[in-house]
Amino acid sequence: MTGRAAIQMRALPLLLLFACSAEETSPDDPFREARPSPERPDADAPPAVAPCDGLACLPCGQGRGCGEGEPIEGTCCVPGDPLERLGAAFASEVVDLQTDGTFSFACGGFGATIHDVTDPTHPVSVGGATSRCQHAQPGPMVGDSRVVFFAHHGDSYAGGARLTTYLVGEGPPAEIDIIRDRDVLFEGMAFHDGHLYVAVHQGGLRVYRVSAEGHPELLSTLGGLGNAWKVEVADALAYVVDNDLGLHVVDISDPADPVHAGTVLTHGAPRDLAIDGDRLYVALGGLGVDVFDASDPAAPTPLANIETLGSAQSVAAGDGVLAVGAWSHVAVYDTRDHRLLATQRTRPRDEFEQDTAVALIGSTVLVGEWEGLHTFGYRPGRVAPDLWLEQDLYSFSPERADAQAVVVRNVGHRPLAVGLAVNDAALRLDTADLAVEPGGGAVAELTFTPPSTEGFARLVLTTNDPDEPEASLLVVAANSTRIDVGDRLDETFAFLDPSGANQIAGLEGNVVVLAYFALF
Amino acid sequence: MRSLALVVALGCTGETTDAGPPPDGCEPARAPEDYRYPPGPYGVDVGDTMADFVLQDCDGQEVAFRDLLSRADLVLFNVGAGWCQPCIVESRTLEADVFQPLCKRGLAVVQVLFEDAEARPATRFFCKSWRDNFGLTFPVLADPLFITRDYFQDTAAQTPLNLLVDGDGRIVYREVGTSAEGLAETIEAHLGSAKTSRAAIERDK
Repeated sequence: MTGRAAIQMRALPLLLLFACSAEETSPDDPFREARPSPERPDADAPPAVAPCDGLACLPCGQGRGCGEGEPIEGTCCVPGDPLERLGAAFASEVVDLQTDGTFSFACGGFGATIHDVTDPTHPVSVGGATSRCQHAQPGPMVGDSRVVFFAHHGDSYAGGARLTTYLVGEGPPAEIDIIRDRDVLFEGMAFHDGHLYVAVHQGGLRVYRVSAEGHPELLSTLGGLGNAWKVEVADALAYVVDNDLGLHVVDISDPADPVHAGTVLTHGAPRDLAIDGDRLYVALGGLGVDVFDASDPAAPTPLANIETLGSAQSVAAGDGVLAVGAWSHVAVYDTRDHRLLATQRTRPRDEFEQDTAVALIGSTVLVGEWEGLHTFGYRPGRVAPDLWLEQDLYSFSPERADAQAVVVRNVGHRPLAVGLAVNDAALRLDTADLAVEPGGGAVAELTFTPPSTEGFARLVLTTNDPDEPEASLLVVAANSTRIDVGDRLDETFAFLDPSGANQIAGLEGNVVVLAYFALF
Repeated sequence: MRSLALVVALGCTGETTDAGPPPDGCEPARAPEDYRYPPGPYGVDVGDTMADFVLQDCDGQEVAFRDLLSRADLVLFNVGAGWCQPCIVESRTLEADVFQPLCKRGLAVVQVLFEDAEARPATRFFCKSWRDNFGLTFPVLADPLFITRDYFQDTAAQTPLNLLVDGDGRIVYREVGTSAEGLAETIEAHLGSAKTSRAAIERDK
């Protein structure tokens, strides 16, 4: 099984629970935007989906640019991929990605990787910092070099938690400072007006004055703030992401004396925060993105919740777009109306990926994932069909006839055409093609009749989506790790052995609690 | 990271009931050509008018809500999933306790399944197995795209959902998250309060 298949985590049906709840939202949730009422049947009404789907398709020359090519029906929309793949480079297990507009700074499992992204079609590695790091933050310029800070949780190779400072310019990045504090776990950072603000796990907010040479010196500390995880700064306020609660607002008008000014609850555990003008965007994993109105910066108020496709891990906002790194893909939303503009996968469906970090340089979207840095260009006015599959893996019991729905959605703005085929005689599709209107969905039924020839097959979708002309999905008809009441645990479950010996025999006579865990 | 799905198939397997045909006069039928669906605005709350929708039944035939509304005084709109134990419990009684005794008095019943026992989008295959196992003679529809989600009103898709819709398309009763206690009695009360019974008119003809 590929890594991609191994982390297939859509359905987690703990069916022993009869609570029959499919989501984790509260009925009186203030964040939820009112759902539109179901479509009204009206024979005289125009088609539900007009060309370009209201994508601000203004007459040419107004508002958003037409881009190249022929406009569609006199509007600014032109056919083409709105999120164009530009380039890629190696990066390692990226969990955080920042940019100063010239360089990208990616933190991950094997250290930091720094790329010159001046030409986004060709990101050039300029080196990195060894040892695992969790967060990066560009700082001031020192001469022709950029100061960058890295927060490391520590590892067995390079020691404990620390905050390192590097100079990035001509030649390899050079470490110029290191702060070690065995009692402190440094997390996300923000640089503002000569000061570095650092969220500290269960330790509040630390403020460092950064010297002209780029060295941080501790100036003040504000305790509390729960599970402080990230921080962003806007003018005289710092917003600290409390992973357990929401956002803490900290008055930093006097950096030597930060004052807790309030707390704003999010309706899920926040993962990331982006500020764009008077809007705050908070990534909430499977609960999407909360949007706050920060017209009163000290007291942001909930404005909306964007139900994202996938699990929102990271956000970046600017120039009217919100980019969301959502595990399997990056998505771009319009900040005016929260409309989904485009999605793009970073790797083929069978390959392991986690899009966990995004950054924006104008209309260039930088994406950090498990094995790389990817750059995409957002092209306003371009419209295309956009394939969205609810599932990447179809698994059947090898002994029993069954069927599964292949749900195909079109999250783009032009009609999607899909051809379907399978390569195992035990599998049958009830249709060979689907036509999906923008914003709509369609279903093909995939029926399995045992026995399977190989146990594995391919469901291949060919589409007119410019960024995914073919999607190859694995169909498994073999015994898996799925267990049922009455089943015996076999060697597949040897990994449960707490001794590390991976012996199923060691589990005999014990009560084993299997809990499903997934980072949503 | 390993993915473990602890699946206990609580589906309807093993309890087959001979469905037989629906009672006379209760067979599915298309809405008359001249039938005009109640105008909007539409909503999902009690007091709102319910919008029309079209889904496929277990045999792949399209069924529109208007088909049911056009010939009933009251429609029971039931939404559930194969993994939902209360839905299973409820489905054991819907036919015998609700549809059979009340369909001739103007009740239509439609059941919509959005996921199967393993929380996968409902298929016609699953729909058929569910329908046959519970011996349901009213329309059972598969909703793999979960277009009926709106009716849950963001109540976390707690299932089952039961709506009663009167002949004017108005939602007169709503229960979500649990099996509706005394559903048959509630329906009877609403049938009794119907000002103009289509069934009665038909009988009087």
